[in-house]
Amino acid sequence: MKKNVLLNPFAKIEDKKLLTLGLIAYIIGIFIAFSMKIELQILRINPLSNIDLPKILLNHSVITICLSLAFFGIGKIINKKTRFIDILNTVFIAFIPYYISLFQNINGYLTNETEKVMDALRQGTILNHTPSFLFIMVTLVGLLFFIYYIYLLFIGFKTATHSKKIWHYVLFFATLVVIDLIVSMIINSI
Amino acid sequence: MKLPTQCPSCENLLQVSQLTCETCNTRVNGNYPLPVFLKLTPKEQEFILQFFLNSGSLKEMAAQVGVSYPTVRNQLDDMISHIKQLQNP
Repeated sequence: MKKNVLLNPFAKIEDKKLLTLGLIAYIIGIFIAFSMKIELQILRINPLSNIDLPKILLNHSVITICLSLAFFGIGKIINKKTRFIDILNTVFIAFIPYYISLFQNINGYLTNETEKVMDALRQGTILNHTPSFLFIMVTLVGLLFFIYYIYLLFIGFKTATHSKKIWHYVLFFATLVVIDLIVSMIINSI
Repeated sequence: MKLPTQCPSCENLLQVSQLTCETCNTRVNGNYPLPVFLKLTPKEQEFILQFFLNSGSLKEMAAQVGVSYPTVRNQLDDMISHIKQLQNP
């Protein structure tokens, strides 16, 4: 039962419970991003040296609103019975593993390791640069959480819109990429 | 005892060919197609029964079954398309 909930929480858990959980996670996520000094975007994270809480709050609100509206728009095209609350819950809940993945930057670990790789690239010694075992593990775990985040977005969208056809899935992933580019432009212009 | 609706040999839908009066043992022969409700799977029939008992409220039904609202609504949509298929084969 618990395994099924992890595979598709949107099929089992009531919408109000999901919304409450999502809102709590949203607030906690903003504080995690702030304390880990990471700027969240839809398909990327940017470790930053200087970051302020209102900016993170604004960025994160832009991401959540844009993603929800975009998915709701294509959800309505796929199935007229699609409800906004189900799409919003999908976005809120999918972000939970994304927030957990931010812990890879505890004490600026990810920032420092990334900086070492960038230095090796600048100096042309990247072929001699061997990343530490810990860095590889941290990156792999972060990648797993990121894949789970995309999976939850997909499965939540699929449940909310009852999508079954290949073109529905193509539309979902195309929208994800396009909205990521648009949100990135919005965030960089703020 | 479960009413068989599919042919065990070719898996096509069965028809009623004989009806019997339990009192006088009169038998009526003919070819009567099964009503749409009986052509549905036992799971689908149970869904319709629950839907009826919950006064057509998908939210109440979802709470009773322990699944989310979109799951129940998706099941209903699947059944609607299945029934349309049965009505217009």
